Amino acid sequence: MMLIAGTIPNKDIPLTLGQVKLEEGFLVADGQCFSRIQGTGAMINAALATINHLKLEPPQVLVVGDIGDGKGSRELYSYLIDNIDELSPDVFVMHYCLPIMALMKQLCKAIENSKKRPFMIADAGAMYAAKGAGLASEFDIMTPDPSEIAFLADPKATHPAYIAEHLFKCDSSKIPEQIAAAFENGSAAKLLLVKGKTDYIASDGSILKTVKEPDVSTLEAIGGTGDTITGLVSAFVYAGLKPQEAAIVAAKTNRMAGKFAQPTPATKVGQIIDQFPAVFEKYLCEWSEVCYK
Amino acid sequence: MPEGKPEEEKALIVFDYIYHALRGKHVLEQAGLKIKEVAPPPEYRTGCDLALELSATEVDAAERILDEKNVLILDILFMPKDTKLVPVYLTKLIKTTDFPDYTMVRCGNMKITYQKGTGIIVNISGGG
Repeated sequence: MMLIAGTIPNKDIPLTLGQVKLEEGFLVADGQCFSRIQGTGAMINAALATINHLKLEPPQVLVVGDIGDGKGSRELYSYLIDNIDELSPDVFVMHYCLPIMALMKQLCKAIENSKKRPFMIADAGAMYAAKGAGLASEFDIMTPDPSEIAFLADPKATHPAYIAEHLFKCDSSKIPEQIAAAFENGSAAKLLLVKGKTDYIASDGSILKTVKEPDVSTLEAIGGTGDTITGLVSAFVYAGLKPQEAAIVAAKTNRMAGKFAQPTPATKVGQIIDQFPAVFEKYLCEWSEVCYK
Repeated sequence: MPEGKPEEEKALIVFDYIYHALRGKHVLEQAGLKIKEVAPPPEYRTGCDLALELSATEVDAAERILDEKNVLILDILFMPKDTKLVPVYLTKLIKTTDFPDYTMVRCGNMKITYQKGTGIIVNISGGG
């Protein structure tokens, strides 16, 4: 089973656990309806679209509303700490939440004590919490953007807003150095997929692969196009691809879906995700070992 | 600071929400107080937060102004003289990208894209 956990920027969503589906343009789990184009929702939507194409069991999602006061995030961490052993996911993805380092430590401890260790993926607030708590290497994949890799490269930073000035001012040409520094500091997951103008896939301090094409510059302006990569890589890992291959196919899919969508800066990420089936149909057999026609 | 001049005692105003921190910065600057945006000490951090550093001698005035303007504060800390907090550079490093009908404003890992002319925000991104 794949479990995706994260907060939703809607204070009316209670802590909800259930198998997710798409209904009339919204995600639905255990009767709760939430947006598919923001943060955790965009990531879930991307994972679901991929998993549906691959005809796998749809993900279980654990979501809760949090508009920044941290109440929902605390509920989310607490539920996971108490129940991760019983939930026993094969792939566990943690996404937007307040980066509460003490609770992330407890969660990693609970996972360590579980009967089964899941494949662990973190992005957004969960990635910040893991890095800030010194637990990044507990995770198998992290998917930082260029500002977030600078954060991972800064041994003292506990949040991307607080990174050292020289890193804050860096341009994208420094990303390879920052990747190396993140691994050296122990602030990286086992594999990093750095999302940006060039996508970098790196492990053990070395860049294994870069993906640059197609280059759709408009995607940078569209909120959620980084979240979709996290959803894609999670789904491909769940489908059985090796992490490195999952990351490469995820990066290629996101870019090609962007090209297919012919976006403007006002395009919503849902329109990009809607192109995934066409991309899979045309390229997935060529790009990967998972091939469903 | 010129060599030999004793370092001034500093205070730190910390907030529950970044909204109050940003509004606090605005009203204190409007009132003529000299303040600096800094990262709160680690034990006060909850995530995307911000603290305001100012001279310890101006704390009473700042507290009164914030109270009058209904800006909620979490705490006021008086810092040892040698404390060095990390400055927050977000507001200094705003970059813009021009598209034919839209402008994207990037600040750190946060982006807002708006339509030229109307100012309507069409996309937001980042923030973690």
